[in-house]
Amino acid sequence: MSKHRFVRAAIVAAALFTAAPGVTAEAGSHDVDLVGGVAPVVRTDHLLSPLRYSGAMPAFGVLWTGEGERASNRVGLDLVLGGLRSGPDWTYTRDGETIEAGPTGTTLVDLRYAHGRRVVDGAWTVQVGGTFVTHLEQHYYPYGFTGVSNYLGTLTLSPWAEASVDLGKRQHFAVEAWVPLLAWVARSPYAVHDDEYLWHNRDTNPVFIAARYIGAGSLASPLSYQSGHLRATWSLDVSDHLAVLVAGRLDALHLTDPSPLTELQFGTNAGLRGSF
Amino acid sequence: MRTSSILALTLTAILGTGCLAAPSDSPVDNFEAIWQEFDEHYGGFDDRGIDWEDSYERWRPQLDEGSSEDELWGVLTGMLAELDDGHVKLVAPGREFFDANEVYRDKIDDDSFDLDIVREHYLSDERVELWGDELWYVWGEVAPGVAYVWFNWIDDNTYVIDEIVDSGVEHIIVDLRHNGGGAYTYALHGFGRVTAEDVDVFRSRSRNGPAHDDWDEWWTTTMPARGETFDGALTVLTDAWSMSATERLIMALQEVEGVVTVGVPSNGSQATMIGREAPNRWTYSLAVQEVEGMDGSRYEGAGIPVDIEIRNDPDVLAGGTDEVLEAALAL
Repeated sequence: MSKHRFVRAAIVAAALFTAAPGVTAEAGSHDVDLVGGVAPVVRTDHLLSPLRYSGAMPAFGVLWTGEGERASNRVGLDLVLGGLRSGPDWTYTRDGETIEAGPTGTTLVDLRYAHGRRVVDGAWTVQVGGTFVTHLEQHYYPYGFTGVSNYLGTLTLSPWAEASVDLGKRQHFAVEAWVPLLAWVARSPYAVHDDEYLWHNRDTNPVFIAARYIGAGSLASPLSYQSGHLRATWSLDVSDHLAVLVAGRLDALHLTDPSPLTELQFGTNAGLRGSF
Repeated sequence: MRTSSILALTLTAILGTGCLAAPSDSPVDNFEAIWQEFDEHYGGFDDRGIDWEDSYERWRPQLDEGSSEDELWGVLTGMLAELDDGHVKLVAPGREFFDANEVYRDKIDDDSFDLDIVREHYLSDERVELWGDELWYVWGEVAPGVAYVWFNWIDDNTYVIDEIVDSGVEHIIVDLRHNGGGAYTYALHGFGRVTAEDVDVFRSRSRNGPAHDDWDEWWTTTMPARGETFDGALTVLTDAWSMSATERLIMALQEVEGVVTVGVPSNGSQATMIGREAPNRWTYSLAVQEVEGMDGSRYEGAGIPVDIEIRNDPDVLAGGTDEVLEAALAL
């Protein structure tokens, strides 16, 4: 299958997955979680620098969950925006003018769909299924005097599992995890800015640019791409339709092609859950 | 196994790979890291006649573990200056910016162009666009039916060509002197009005691996025709400060029939640059490509030749006469 056909197939699959809740969800509850918090991120991307960049950035998330008798669907969007640093900001001079070398500009986006079926229904409830995740990263490294943008986009299919338990009448705890088995990876080239990359930036429409980036990717083998993801959520019902929640996340990513990248993203969020 | 144990094991495994460990940071380590990055990414060794192994042999022994930061700076700037590449720069905390290109570093012929002279002595009906506090472009008439446009850098400001063409002028003088670059992809679209059909304008290949002969496939860039074609005369002014993406635009315009270039050859730094960091957080840049015209001509290092070579005498220029512009007006 050509890479462009794969991308089209993946996008269609994502659209079908996203449409699926209306078709497959059985009568049951619908929850919407709105959370905000802080996401500490640590990454070393040898495409850009041998240094370790880190920082705690504002994070936002929204998650819809449709729970049926035996199955569930969920669609979520997570956004992290901010800057990472390899150390304190510093200054240099150019023709007598003092110039500051500042932090990177970093944007991390996750859009995911998961479908699960209940396989254990006791004190603990366990669901297993699959998830399709689109993960996008855009980074701007200022290097003091010149800026370099780069990107990473992955479309992954993963087995997915969630275990949840009621901690009394009003408290609940859930943990979910997934490890991608199939990944389409689009990443800046070895030379970071080659002419093909520059041509992809030939207009100012970010949707077209992102589509060109993703289209330029390829299937990644498990030897060149590894990631793992964990989510944990504690919630406290304050009424029949409202709960407060605290959520934690851990995302680990490692790529070797065309240069090593290691990234850890932690997250601590708090927010509200509306049930209807 | 408890969740916390699994988390701890996962983190230990990942961190234990060393992937997130900070690199070592002695003067020798920093020299080695920068030399190695150039070795694995720089695209101009052949075009600029550089034997990088020889550079290592000559410069590396001047440092040892006891070397000072000043000595490291001196060795690195000395080695990088030999590249004379407009895309090679080095900055460090508290230090003056270093440019490996002699023209830019020593400001050679910086007084051979003065926009104020053009604006005071030649330009009428001037139209100006600002980018923040800076001039973005200036255009107006320099003679009946002759438009002059100057860009501070090239970007989508080049779309002003629409306004100029639609004004009905017969001759456009595009002044790219002292223009250090920008985004040529926008500029090629902006100047799409000067060609009746899409035209392949240059090709490039980029390093895709650590060996000096690791290149990706040649990538041909096309200037797309756009809108009603300008059928008048087009003259391009260049100098040794015309660099980077601006040189790509010059190469592109030279592929258009009838375009004349006037001035002195360009800087000779067309390859795209990227930034890098040393373990000590000094930052630097390097060019990662080979670029050639559609006939195979290489201008990296040498600069793009002009059709009519003429250099402004600074004293004459100070007196209000831009000899390069005068030569263009005489066409």
